[in-house]
Amino acid sequence: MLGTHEVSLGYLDALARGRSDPAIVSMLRQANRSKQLILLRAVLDHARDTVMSPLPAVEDAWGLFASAQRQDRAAVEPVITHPLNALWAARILRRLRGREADASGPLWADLGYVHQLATAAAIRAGQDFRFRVPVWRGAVVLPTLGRADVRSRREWDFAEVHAEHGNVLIRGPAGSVRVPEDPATDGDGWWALRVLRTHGWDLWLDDLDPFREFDGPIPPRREPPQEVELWADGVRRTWRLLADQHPATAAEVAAGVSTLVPRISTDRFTPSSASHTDAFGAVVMSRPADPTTFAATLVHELQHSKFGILLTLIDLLDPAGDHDTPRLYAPWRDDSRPADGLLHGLVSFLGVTAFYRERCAVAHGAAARVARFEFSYRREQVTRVTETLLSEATPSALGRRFLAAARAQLVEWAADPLPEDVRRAARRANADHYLSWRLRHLHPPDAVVDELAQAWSRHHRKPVVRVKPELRPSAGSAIHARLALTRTWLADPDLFEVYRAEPELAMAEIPGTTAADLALLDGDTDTAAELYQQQILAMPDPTTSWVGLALATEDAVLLDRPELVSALHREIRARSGLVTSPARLARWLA
Amino acid sequence: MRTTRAEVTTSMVDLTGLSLDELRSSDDPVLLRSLSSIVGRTERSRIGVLDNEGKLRRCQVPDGR
Repeated sequence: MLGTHEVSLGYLDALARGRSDPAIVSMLRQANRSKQLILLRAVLDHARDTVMSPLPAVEDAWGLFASAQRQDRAAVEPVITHPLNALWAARILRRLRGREADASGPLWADLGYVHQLATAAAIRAGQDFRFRVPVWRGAVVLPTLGRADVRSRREWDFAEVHAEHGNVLIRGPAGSVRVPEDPATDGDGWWALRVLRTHGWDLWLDDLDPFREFDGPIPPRREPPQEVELWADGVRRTWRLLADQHPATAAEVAAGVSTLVPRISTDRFTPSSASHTDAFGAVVMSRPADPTTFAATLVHELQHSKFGILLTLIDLLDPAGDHDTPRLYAPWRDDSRPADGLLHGLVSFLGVTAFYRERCAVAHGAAARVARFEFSYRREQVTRVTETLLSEATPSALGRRFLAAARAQLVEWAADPLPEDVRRAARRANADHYLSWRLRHLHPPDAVVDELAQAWSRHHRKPVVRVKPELRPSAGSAIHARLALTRTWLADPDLFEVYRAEPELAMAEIPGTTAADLALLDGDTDTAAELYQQQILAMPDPTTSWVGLALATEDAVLLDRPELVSALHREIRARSGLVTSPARLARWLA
Repeated sequence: MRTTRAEVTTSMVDLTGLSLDELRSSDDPVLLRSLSSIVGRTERSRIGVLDNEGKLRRCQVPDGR
């Protein structure tokens, strides 16, 4: 009888404490391999009788796959562990069982991914064979190898792959492509899956696979050579930083991250990045500006990968609890989160916090200030979320153990000394986000706002009211200009001086920035408060002005219930057409 | 799932060392239990893409979970 995977409690504690350990990644990678094979077998079981014309039966694809493995086990292994396999298998299983609402093409073509896997495996193993594979928009993608442009006028079509004595020819509907002798090099009609190599870590730069961004299918977005060189340079520099200064993290990243999917950059300080719970080791990201940010992004996404497979093995939340309703505050997101998503975020940011704590010990100058800020900023966030999950979610017994270990680690980290100005900046950044979230998602009851507005209009004293705001999740994202300004102040003090002298430049370079924000960050809270009041009087709704006013005045009511002051201000204006002083209103509510 | 002092024993079958040929034909009870459990989990799975830009996309499951 076959055995089962085991999870060491020591590993679980290490994960809760944000610790890097390549042994944990190895264990989870093995478990993920089992999961991928189980899913493949499930697909085979469900698709045995599916009519696959014009492709061979799924059983035949499995036969080719197995025969390639018999021929060269090591060569086939990268195909078996390819990170997109489980993603595809999970999706096709839902489709086969009538649970997938969004089908991407005809069933034979969707199922034909297993033919693509088998063909890639057979090529890697050096087998002689003929086999058919699906074609999407004129191209055949062979996982781990590359993409052949065989041309077709139809959205979905098929091609025949013929391999003999190491020569591989792909015959499509309107063209043929010969796979180069070394498939890792580009050829006529052939785009190779590129590999970025360092001394100790090789990874695929995948700009080809239709499902590489986890949704899909999407067309390839071939990176030009100069962009590939920038990625390669970024990977080399990041690897050097990790290997020299964070060896345990380096070993984890090398063991866990196998695929980088490039995405277009949208933010100077925070790269856009993503991972998927069914795609262990694949990271989608825009190119980070520096090795530290690159490393932190890898840590963040690898934590998600690790936790994704861990949650397939064990339950950290009680299966009977409500983990689905988006009802909890997450300091790193603009939306409200369900318990399972919040737990995922916690694990990810525990890793990031631990990484920046290590950076504090090795970085110098502005880099050290940035590291201290990020450590302080994230430490405060994960502390808050650990308590939220313990008090407002329903963890299982193992989950409570996990959160207790995280809490113990956070108590230890809380003792780390940090410069007061950095701590204050981190505290303000977190308050900024929380107040913004309250203003966008929490709504005081209409009856209470009505009663208060009446009392205000009649110049009465504030009535005693019970205010329990209602959560109404709101779409849309918040403005993060003050966070970007804070990071500029830390990372590039000279540029911040330029912004102080020329606020228009800051407003142009950091969307959403106002003169009030610059005054606030500069410590001129009186000017900031006055300017924020003016912004509210001119345009009462912008959340960011209300938050700025609360931060500048440190008014207890504005800090405690900004959504009530804002809603009342709006109501009074709607009733009387008069624009009330927000500060006066807050004082009346105190 | 069983917890001892040092580790948690899970119900997921360990397929290390099993060939694709063996996997195709195996009716090992541990494998069959894992198959059923993973397929069920896949259908119930809610978390999909974890995107740092605040967009958490969900698996397309018709019952709206």
